[in-house]
Amino acid sequence: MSAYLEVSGVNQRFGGLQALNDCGFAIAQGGITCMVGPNGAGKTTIFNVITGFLRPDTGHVAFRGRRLDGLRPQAIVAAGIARSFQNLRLFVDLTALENVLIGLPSGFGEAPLGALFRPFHTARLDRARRAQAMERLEHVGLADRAAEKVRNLSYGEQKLLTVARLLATGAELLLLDEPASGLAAGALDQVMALLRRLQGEGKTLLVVEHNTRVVQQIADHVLFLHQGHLMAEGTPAQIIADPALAEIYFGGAL
Amino acid sequence: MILELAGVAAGYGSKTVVSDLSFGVEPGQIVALLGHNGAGKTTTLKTVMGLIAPRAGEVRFDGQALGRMPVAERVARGIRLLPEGRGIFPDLTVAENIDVVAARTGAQGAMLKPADVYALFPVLDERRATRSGSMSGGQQQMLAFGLAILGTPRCLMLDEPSIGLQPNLVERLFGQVRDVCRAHGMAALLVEQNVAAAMGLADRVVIMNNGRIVFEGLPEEARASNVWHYF
Amino acid sequence: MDYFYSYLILAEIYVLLGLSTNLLVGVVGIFSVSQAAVFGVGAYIVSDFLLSGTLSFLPALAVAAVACIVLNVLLTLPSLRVSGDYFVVTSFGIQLLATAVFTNWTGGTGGANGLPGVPPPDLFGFPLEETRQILGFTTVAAGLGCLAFWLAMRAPYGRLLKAIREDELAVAAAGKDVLRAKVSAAALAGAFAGVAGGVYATYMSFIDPSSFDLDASVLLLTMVVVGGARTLAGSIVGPFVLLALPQLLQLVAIPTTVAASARQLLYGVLLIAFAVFRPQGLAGERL
Ligand SMILES: Nc1ncnc2c1ncn2[C@@H]1O[C@H](COP(=O)(O)OP(=O)(O)OP(=O)(O)O)[C@@H](O)[C@H]1O
Ligand SMILES: [Mg+2]
Repeated sequence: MSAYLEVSGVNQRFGGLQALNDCGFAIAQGGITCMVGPNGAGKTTIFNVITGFLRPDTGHVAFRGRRLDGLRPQAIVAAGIARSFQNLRLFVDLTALENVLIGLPSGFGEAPLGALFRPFHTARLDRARRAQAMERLEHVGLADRAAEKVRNLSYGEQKLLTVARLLATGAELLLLDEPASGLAAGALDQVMALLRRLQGEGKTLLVVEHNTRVVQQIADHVLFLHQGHLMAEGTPAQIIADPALAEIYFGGAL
Repeated sequence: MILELAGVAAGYGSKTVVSDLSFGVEPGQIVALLGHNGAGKTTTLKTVMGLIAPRAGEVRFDGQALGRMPVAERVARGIRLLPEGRGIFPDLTVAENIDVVAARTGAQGAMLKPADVYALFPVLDERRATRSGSMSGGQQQMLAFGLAILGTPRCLMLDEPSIGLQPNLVERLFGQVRDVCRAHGMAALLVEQNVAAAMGLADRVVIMNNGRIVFEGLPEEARASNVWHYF
Repeated sequence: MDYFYSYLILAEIYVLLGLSTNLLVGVVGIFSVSQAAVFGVGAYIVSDFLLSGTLSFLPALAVAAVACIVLNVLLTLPSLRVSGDYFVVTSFGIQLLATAVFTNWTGGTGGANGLPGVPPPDLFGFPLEETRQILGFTTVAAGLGCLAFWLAMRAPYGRLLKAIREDELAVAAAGKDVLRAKVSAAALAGAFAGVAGGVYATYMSFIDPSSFDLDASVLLLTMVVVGGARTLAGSIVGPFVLLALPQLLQLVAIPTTVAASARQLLYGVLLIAFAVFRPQGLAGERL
């Protein structure tokens, strides 16, 4: 039986730096997997590989038994995998609602001919899409900020918005790069509850996170990446209790 | 008081985001400025740095009102900010980043020199020749912190320094801030969402809610009183 | 009165060009300085067909539009590979190359002497000879152009283009085909410029390379900056204001020998002044 997502033998060099070194792991469907590891361990790089932003020197990614090698990012989103960015990458001059609208799967009126020659049809369908996008904003508790330009949103609101935009893609496997960092306790609880809810709705999540408390609370399974290689995996308790990992990563209690 | 805010209000466009802010930081003291996302913490720091002008009230540094003093002048006097997002030059190498800032902030008799930054984060030493924008998120944050403390900071403002850092490095960074404050009398104003860690480090706590100060006191007092609903 | 009409006609033609430039530069962020070259190709194609009598006006205009669509897509392709600053350089080179071709390919363009005697536009066999008739035609053409721009901008398509300008990578991560969107925008901009070229040639009845050179491209950019990026209003206001200025210059008695350089000087000053003091232009957003 093949795993839901399977990464195997991925190597990636940047100049003299081996960013990913025979990196391999598998993820089961329906859970929340947290990926932890020191800064520069290659977490974001493996995200880039899985989502088609980076073609690795060697190695493979398979999703539901299908090889994704060489596919472009949009094909990978269509296959059901979407990702968020550590540095958010929101469209700051657009409104919150417009950001989510961009996340929705392509629809009518997104190519010029449809937009120009069937304006009423376009407008009608766009209204429906706006309603859909609004639901996504409600999902993350940002409905009242829909018409605000993103540059005027607080950092916490922007973080929530990246999740809303990600959700809009409809992808079933969501890769989140530090969705909780920089959030106040209230917003943090909100994000964690949201991630749990998404799991309940049938999504599978792979989350990069440095906050040990968050990992403990949400992870079903933890992958520990070190120097581009999967160094350990297990339950949160197993990983946190491992003295070798505490030495290179966790340190004392914070 | 090295830094003092008296009745400060500030905002963007037609919107006033913070108002009636009054608090101060003593030399050697660490003040944690806490509050929910959007409470106005970053706006407060930007106002002190001179990136936005106060609409009311006054910011005083070393007993002197700063008025409309330009940012560069504030930096020269020792006010430093680790900005939200990343304050680095992404197209320069790590070493170039550090050298540029070290040269600007007084190499002669500086309190903190490039060597101190490299000692604090050895990975920066290993990666001196790397284009800083190609480093990982956490590595860029380390560099940004290094740039903020280079030279002789007298009042260091940190806007969420722990974002993206692995746990043991957060401890090291906080430890460094404490050591420099104790040893050199530097004042620090720390904005941080890791409230427990920030309260552990700070001498005083200021809590903001919707642009206003709702609590000011010792960390113990904060822990004992009912402030948690503000986050 | 004719004088005023001719100002209106030219301004309306430049509205089409302003839309074209604004779409590419303002909305998508492809910083092209060679839109005048595409404008020129449209003008020469229509002129050549009409002068040789092979096609009448409307079919010739359609051919010019298609040719400029293809051309503009080809010209903007480098923007997919090289980033911002380098594309400007590429585009600059393309504009110089085009001017060289316009000036030296005497067979197709009449070279530096230009093409005189381009017949007036005609609609289904009815020649538009009076200025007022041409004004009616350009008004309809500019109106249709504005409508198309407005429809495109308020549709999901416009939103997608604006998002691409801000962050291509994030658009790709949302599962969108960035390449296709950019190519289609270049095509749309090409069609606008080609049509504008054809109308311009038939109205002026004489064209030469000086209308399609680097100065002309810079004028188009100035129109976007002064009018304002990304808005319909900005694309309309820019041409009307900038074409009115030379007329105003004529009111102050300046010898004709320096009039041309005075105009360039004025455009340059305006470009700088707006970029510094009012980056959103008269009726738009920041470039
Ligand atoms: N485009 C690139 N060019 C050169 N080096 C790169 C590039 N991208 C990543 N690297 C290097 O690869 C290593 C892994 O980076 P990556 O961003 O994957 O780390 P990470 O695990 O996400 O770390 P963090 O927790 O700090 O975000 C780092 O040393 C980084 O400097
Ligand atoms: Mg990362």
